[in-house]
Amino acid sequence: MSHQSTYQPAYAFTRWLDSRLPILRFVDDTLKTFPTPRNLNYWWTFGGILAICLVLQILTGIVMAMHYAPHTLVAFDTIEHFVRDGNYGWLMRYMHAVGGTMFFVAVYIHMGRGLYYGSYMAPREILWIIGVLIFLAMMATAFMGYSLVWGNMSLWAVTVITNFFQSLDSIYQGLGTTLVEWIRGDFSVSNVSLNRLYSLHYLLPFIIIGLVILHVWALHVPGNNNPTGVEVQNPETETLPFHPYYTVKDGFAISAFLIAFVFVLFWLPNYFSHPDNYVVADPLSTPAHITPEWYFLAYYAILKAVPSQLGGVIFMFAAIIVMFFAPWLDTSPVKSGKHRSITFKIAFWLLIFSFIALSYLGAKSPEGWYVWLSRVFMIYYFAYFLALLPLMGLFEKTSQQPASIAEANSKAH
Amino acid sequence: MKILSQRRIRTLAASVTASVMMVVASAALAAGDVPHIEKQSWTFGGLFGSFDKDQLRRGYMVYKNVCTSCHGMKRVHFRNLKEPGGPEYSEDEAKAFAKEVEVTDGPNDEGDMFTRKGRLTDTFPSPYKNDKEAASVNNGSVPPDLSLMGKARGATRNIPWFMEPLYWIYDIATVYQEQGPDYIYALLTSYGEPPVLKLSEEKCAHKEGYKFEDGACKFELIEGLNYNTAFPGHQIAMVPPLYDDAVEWPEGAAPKTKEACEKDPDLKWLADENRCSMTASKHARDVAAFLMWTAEPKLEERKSMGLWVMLYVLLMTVVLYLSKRALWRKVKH
Repeated sequence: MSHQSTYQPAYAFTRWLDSRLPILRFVDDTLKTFPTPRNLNYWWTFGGILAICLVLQILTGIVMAMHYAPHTLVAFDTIEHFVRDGNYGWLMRYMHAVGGTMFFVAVYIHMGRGLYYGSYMAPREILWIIGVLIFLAMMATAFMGYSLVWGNMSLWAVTVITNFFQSLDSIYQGLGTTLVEWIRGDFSVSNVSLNRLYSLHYLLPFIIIGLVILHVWALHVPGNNNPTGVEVQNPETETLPFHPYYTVKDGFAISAFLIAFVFVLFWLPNYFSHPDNYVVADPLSTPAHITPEWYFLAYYAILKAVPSQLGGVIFMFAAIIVMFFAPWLDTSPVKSGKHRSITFKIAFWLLIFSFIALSYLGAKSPEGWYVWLSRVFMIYYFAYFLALLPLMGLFEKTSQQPASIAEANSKAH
Repeated sequence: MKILSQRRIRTLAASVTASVMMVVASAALAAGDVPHIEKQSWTFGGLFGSFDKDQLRRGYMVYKNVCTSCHGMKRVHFRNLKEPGGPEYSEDEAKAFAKEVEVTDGPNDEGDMFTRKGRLTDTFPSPYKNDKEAASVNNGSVPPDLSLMGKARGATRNIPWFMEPLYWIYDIATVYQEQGPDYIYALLTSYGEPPVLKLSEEKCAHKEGYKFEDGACKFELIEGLNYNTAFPGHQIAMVPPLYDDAVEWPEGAAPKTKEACEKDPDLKWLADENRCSMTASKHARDVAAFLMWTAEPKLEERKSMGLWVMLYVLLMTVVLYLSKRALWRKVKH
């Protein structure tokens, strides 16, 4: 948590710098001496992993932007040219594409950690809200990045998503159409759309950087949550300086994550994408099954589960919006799932299962029992946030929380 | 004896579960009539895969002599034929292939377009000026450019829904990225006569895509299309392009004895002609491998670099883990 700065500049130059722009003090306070609870488990390493993913995406993206041209006539060709004839173009391209997938693997685990351990509860509500904003920005960025390839799936994905706003015509005639055409810049998805998708795709990652800075700042005020859910009481016995303990531990976790990343990058680079996106965009040829990338499938399932077009869009966005309110929906006085009832634990894992099931169903055609199951899991998803979290907190019998982290530690040893 | 004894309940539960599973499985199978594309074995598959140069060369011969009558390949240059990781022809051989084609260039200093012999820097030509010409010659269908075909097609499977996650795990464990060549091989070898089903006239009326004609339930094949079990919808505009010995062996590459020939199930020893014949299946395999190379020319470089990178990352992980442990052992946590 925010602690007294202990940085002592050791050289004349660093003293001079510190009195003008205390950037080294800032790095020392946040990354070196920052008191971090000693009992964090490996679920806490995904923040660092996500930071690395962001840096990787930005670096590979900037390199690729030097070779890419956002015009429908050449976009696909510029990527193929860079991949075939550019210096390690294939490596940059696959790192960026696989990096996107790994980014979402990490973010879903990171969010799951937050949900299980009550990291969204007071005093970390703003931290959580900024996190959901980062997630939304990531989704927008990833969607736009996929569209830039201008393969057939890119074109039709943009057509489907921008079509969402068409449903507003049922509320006020003409509103939807106007909005859709304004977003696309044209009557249908065309070169105008591609150009603005590129502009925004380049912009949003830097907005994400800004949000991440706010996210870490909001974290550093109260300090990290920890697996017991009990706040730090005695920093001396319950925390460790971030460096070297957590720099090395996060380093190890990042390295382990990179094993998975390297495995996918070099041997399964196209496993998570759709073959249809290796066909150039053709407005006259719709893919047999329009499906988004895997990380959007759960929300896509929710969209298809609701029988009305407008309803589907509303519920799809609501699935993300509802997360904003988790800090206030959850009435439990106990933060961490570790010390909550078995009911909570089952409810939580059912939520995870529902999300995975919805992702599976999102790839299927909306017919038969696929739709009915999507509705079941969608209802459970909303029920978790809107019914279970409020009610469980009021009625559950929790296990005895440890009085402090120190007590939990000494009990464990 | 109690009607609902423990044993009876258990038997009942087991049979109910089994029948539910069967209903679900058959519903799933009935719902999805997707072609089941078989996995083939490719030299470039797996963790340590690489292209077979001879296969790529035979595949290029198939492409050049059979496919170029209708298909273009605008992303591949003649110089790619001599680059490492592919058929690796010599510079002279690649130049010779380039010289075989006529390329439109210009305008010259007089402002006219002119034709010249191809160069290494030129791309593989398309037989048609544009898509409209292609469509007018091919009954409205445009033969697609083949540059990325090895990656632009997937391999569907007819499996019940509960088996899918197991297949995903298996695919990841075997690093299955050869869906494209598997599909291409299946497509090229799955032409056949449109099926005739043994159904009554009444049942035939309910069967989608079939018509009761001349006393039999026949598949309704649209005029001008060809029946193919691997193609989605089963009706493809492309005529079966391959047949036995459609393309000759490259100079000196043919096996000279019956024993050497019959080692490969795709080859046939013709005793009366005393030569090893390539079947249509062999041509299909070779051209599918070639199309994988044109789609992924950096495949070999990718996999070999991957080995070094993986080694490095594994080593780094071990070192960081040991560091973490050494550091944390000293503190109570």
